[in-house]
Amino acid sequence: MPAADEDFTDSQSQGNTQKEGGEVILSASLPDVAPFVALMKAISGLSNTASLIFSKAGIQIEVEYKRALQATAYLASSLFDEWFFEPPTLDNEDDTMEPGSYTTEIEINLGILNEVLSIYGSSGGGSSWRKKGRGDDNEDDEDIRGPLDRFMIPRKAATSMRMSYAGEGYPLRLSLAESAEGPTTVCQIHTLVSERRMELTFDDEDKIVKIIMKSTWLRDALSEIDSSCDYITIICNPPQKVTRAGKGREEAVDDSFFRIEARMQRGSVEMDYPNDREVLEFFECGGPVKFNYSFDVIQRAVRALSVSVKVSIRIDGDGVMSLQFLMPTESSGERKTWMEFRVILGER
Amino acid sequence: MRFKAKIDNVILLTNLLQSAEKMGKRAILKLTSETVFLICTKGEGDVQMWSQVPADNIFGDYRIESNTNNNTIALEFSITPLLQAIRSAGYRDSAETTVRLAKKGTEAALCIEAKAQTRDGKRVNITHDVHVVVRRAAEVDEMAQPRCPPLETHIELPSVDQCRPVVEHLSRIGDIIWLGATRDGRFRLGIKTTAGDIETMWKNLKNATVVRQETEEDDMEDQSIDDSDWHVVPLASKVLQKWFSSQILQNHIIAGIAPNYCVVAYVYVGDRKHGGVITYYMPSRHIAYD
Repeated sequence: MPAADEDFTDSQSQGNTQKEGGEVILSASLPDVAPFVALMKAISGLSNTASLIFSKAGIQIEVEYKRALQATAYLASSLFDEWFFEPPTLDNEDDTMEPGSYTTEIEINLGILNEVLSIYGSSGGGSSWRKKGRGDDNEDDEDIRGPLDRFMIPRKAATSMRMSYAGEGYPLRLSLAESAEGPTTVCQIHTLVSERRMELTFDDEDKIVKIIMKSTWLRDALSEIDSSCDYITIICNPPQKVTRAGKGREEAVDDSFFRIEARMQRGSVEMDYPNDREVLEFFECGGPVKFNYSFDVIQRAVRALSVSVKVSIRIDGDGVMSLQFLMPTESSGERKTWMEFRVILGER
Repeated sequence: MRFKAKIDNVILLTNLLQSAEKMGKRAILKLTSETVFLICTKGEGDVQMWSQVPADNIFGDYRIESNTNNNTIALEFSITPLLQAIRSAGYRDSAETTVRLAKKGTEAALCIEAKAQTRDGKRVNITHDVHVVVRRAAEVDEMAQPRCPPLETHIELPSVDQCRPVVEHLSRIGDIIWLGATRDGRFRLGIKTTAGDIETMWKNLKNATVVRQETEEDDMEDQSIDDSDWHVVPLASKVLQKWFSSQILQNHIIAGIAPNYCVVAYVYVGDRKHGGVITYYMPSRHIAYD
């Protein structure tokens, strides 16, 4: 039986980030965890574990799903009101490494990070009518901030967080509070032995397709497909100058489109997105494309679509698909968080 | 054996029955000349609910008569049907709702009668008969409240709205939540797993002293213990989560802790000066009540 009393009291009394004997590698303070929680909503269901990579630029969180999807969430250091990162000085064989590019990587259980960030309830949701049962799928839209928010009912106070890490052998420490008078939560997340990560590269130079559309549209499209579907097919046609005779004249017609096809038990569905600025904010297609992707894997992006405003879909010559999610911006307009999901080609 | 009364406070009775319904399917109503007891011992995770309220908080014209045991009647019943009957009477905004014990053939029933008015002024009587089993009062008196060691500290818990989300999130990570309190106003909920530890702590809460009836142990707090010491109990997360979700009243909850043994929680209800209390016994995860 663990001596719960001693451990807990000790962790609570250590309000400061300096742990005896360890060098502080990371010390950061975030005034509102809501943007972090939004990212968690998108990636926490993918796997039990995640890699956290700290650098002067911020945090990169990498999660894999079935070795077919590599999800990365980024939090820029500008999101934090304090960001102190000082990696340990090592005898690096690689002297060519730029000092600014030093990173520290840890692997942790993603579930515990997810739960502790929302410990006081849905951050920003403010509702006390909690749905019984597991899962927070219902409140996704509430976390998206928009210009009308200041007219809405005041939300719960923001949860603020402090985070620190003292290096190998030490846990990642978080402390969260809603207000000065309210409760404080202290969390120590044990760091795991890092497993080999999948390195799925995407070469932007090599891309054949790039499409930008509203996240809700792609989410709606995916909701048309049920779980009996194994693979979806992405078809993309570039703009071709096709002349058609009509009314005695020749007209140039744009035939380009982006299509999602899916076969299910009950039938099949085809969703066409014409190359029209009303529909697709951006359309670029270097050549005809027809690729299959596992629907189960693509469906993992639904939550990311729920918390983002726009999505950019790029496909390269190897069929690797990169989905980049544009998150709602702060009032400053600066992009401080974003996500990218890379999906490998599905095989039939 | 006779029991008849007017239900003056339908809301209070409804609240008590709703609280019991969260605990289990059946309960016991013990009526004495002064007091109403509502007992639910088969709660999930061995949690027990024992509530007692002065009869006059709920009933008017309270008439009780029994040959055995000092005018005490004990009835066992299925909670949901009785709750539905009482609720239905309450909705009708009736002029008068009465309850009485009646014999229906070979079985006993509580008859809830509401005198109400329809929209066009016509008088209607609505009667519900809820089947009950008469228990021998001696049997019920033998049902004692669970015994436990002295409660080392009593503290007024943070609101349910604050505790519930914390417990919900902790339950998703592990099976055991450590609940602890001190005598200097601090309360905490924590979890330890291989993935990591989380602990949420509240400060500046009020400690309380509670006089507990029907116990064999004296609740005189051990004076040798420092006020800042933690008194903790491990509880099954699902049980604690369910219990917090089942708190329908916004009233303050006072928790008493017998370290490593149980938590006793008190919710005060009814009349401010001369009201009642719902008592919950939540056993530690490792110890079952006999």
